[in-house]
Amino acid sequence: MDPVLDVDGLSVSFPGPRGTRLPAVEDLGFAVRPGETLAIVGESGCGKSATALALLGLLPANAAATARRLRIAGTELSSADPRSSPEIWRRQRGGRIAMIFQEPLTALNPVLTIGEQVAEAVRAHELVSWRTARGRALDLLRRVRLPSPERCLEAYPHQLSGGMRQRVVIAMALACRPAVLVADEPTTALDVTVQARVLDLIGEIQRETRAALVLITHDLGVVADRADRVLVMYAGRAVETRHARDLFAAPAHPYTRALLAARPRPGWTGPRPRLAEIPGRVPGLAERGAAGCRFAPRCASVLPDCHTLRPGPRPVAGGEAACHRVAETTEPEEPARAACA
Amino acid sequence: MARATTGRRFWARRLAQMALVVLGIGTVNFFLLHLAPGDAAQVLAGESGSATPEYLAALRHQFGLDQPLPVQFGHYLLRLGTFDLGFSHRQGLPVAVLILDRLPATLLLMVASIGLAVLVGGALGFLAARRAGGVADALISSVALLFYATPVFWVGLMLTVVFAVRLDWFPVGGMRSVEASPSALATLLDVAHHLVLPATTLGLFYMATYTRLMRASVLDVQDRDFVRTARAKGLRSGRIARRHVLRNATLPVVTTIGVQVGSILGGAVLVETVFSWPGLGRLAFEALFQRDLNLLLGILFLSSILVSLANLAVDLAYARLDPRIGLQG
Amino acid sequence: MSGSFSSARVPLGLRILRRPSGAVGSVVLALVGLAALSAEIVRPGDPLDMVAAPFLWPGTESSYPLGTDMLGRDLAAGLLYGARVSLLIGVVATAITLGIGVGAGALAGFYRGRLDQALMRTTELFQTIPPFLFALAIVAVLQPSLTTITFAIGVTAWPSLARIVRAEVLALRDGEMVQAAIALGAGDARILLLHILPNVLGPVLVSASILVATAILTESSLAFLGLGDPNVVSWGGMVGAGREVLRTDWYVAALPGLAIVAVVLGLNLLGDALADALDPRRTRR
Repeated sequence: MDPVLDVDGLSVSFPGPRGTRLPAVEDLGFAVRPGETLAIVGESGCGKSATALALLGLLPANAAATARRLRIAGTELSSADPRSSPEIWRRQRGGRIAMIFQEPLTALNPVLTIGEQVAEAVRAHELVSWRTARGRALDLLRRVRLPSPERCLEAYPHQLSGGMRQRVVIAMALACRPAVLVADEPTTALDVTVQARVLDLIGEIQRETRAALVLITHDLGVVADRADRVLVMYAGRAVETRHARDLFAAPAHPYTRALLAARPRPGWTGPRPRLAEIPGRVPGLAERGAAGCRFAPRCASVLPDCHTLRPGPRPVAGGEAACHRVAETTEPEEPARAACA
Repeated sequence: MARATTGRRFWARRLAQMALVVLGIGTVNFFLLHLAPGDAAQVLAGESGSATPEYLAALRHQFGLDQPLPVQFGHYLLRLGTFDLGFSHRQGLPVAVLILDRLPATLLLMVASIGLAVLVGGALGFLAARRAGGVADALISSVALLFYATPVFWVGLMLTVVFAVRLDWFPVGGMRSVEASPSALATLLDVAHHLVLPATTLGLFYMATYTRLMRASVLDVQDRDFVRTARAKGLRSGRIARRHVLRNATLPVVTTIGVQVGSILGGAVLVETVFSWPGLGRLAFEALFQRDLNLLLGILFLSSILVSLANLAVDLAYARLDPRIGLQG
Repeated sequence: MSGSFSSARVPLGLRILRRPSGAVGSVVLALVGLAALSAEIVRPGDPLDMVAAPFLWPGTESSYPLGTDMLGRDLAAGLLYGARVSLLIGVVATAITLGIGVGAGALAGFYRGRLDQALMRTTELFQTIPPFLFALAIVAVLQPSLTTITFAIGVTAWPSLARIVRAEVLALRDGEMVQAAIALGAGDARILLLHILPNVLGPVLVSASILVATAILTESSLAFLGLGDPNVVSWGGMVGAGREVLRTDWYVAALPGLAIVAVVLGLNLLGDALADALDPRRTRR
């Protein structure tokens, strides 16, 4: 089946000092087919959110996005600038590609009822009366299994719990049966107990509607059993793009290995260790040179070439990885070593 | 059930607050009366020297001014509690009657000015924020800053020169034309015609305030997450602006209306004086001119009550506009 | 915090002057200050004296460039001496307001509890009294003079300042710096004066510039209503006098009004620039 989301050469930059442009996302490419789940993984500052916002044309006014190809549900958008052709993008947003935001409290308008906020999403794309739209909103609230949906229609966001709010956010995203769903850290702001249930709901809806899902997360644990393919980003670049099974069986890039090592073991019930346990931090926008591998300063298996030569994507089992080491060892001897160093 | 209880607590609290205002302003007034040169009987008589000694003695006895200060104070507060504000000997009428007679004109002026200020100021501020950094923004912000710095009475005089004296579009002052009007509609139009200049004068200063406030508020709300959500849903920009940005940006504006009622009443004194508008402010000016301190203090007292009531109205309106705010007081 | 921005190393005065609003405001205020100082040199004698024919329009007589009013008083002299009165009342009244407002706000925020309750109830009470009407009543009762006018303006403007200061002090009191000072056994007075007040100086300065502007507006309004000190010339009083001849000789009321606009505008611009300079994140707003 043809992909419903097809991206090639996507770059996002922000203005820097003295007229320079600072890269947030560089030359990113991926494709997602109906019903398929692509996880985009990386620490904060890796360009995941900028990628998501670029897909919906929602980047802030000072950001610039370019792409060789950006095709969403059959519409080619790479030549359409969100500022100069707003109507083309507006029809996409919520209609063909919808977003599930991270923070359900701030993502909802505090002074409007849940019913109005879901119904207006329907009315943005379909010529229906408010009454019909409210009926649809009620159906949507039932579908995301909100308890007592009739009452929730009249409720305001502050009257709901965090998990309920996130269900509302999901209902809004589903309003017009989008072909592509982008979920940006959809469970980070929720209680651990609620997280799994919300993710299960998203997966279930995806199976029903055959939507393509782009799941953005910093948590590889979330990805393992839910993603078909995984794109690992580091400092604005793709470092590894693989089938999930292959990636978890044999991570090729040292950064992926470090991420996996920082993941809690199965059966681990204590607090989830954060990715910050990899020594160092993601370089800021202004600290990103063009030469070499961006992960080199933090890499446990760094080579002299890594600092000067930018590694191109090299084929590995089930995908590709951008690392100078890949040619020598596809199978890492000691996966945990990177994190221990 | 729970809502009814919080409601009752809200009203109890507000009633206690109102009682505190009556008590507080009463105390302030009492002290002012006794600070005035000459004794309170002379102040109450309206003008020192004009009343006979017998009359002054009778007044002293009538108002208990021959009794110790604490007793006087108690009596004074008791009378205020029943809205007995005393008698204006200069005008020959009870103070409360005089004030209630002038109140409607002032309320009309205030409502018209605030309405003008909030609507036009809000619209200009919204426009400036949407075009932030552009020419329209610079122009609107500069004009707002200018009116923010211009004394109300001076604006009134200059508008009079241009629109009443030179162009003769509006009357110089007053609230009604001398000739008897044939119908209610004609009266209404006549009053409206007289209202234009005073309401514009008073409104311009506050318009500047609301322009600045609305601009800052819209810039703040525009960056919130829920506005991004609204765009992500594919809403048309008009609906986002109206229903999401404007709706939330209005909240601080509503709060400010409550804060400014007292200041607007002060402005009304000046505007009513400039345009001979027969309201409370004009009455205050007359009282000032005639040294009718008891009337002046009565106006001060009633204005404070008016401010409390206006704050109550604003709180109720706010609770309706922002569902997060209950009536906890 | 503003301290982490590189611009924080530039002296505050320079940061204010660098902004267009700060530069314009400073120049306007400097000119008004110069006018107030030079009044006696440029126009010796009492500005209330009749010096020339009445109703000289501005620009018609070179020795009286701004003309004369209906009593033949020199308008230029009135404006120069009026600047003194406006600035004097504005600054002294603001000093009184700062004393009460900062005092009440700091004590309420620092000691909290009952004292805070009592002070805040009082503040709320005074906030319901319309400030201009209140000042008017005080001046009417006490008879208008420079002293009573300044006092009346000073004691009616403090409630909003007290609330601002209280909020700042409440936040500072729980801060690490103050907690450390308490742990070291510093006395209340020492903590308040050395650790808390210097840190509320920024918002107080911004408020002060607006308070001076408001005081000048209030003074001119009182004088316009006839509640000015009869022995000195005041811009508001000049406008009030000019009102009588508005139909024919409107310049008599217009000129002093422009002077008020200039000073108040200058102070507001300076206040804006000050607020921006103290909080770089605000610049966009």
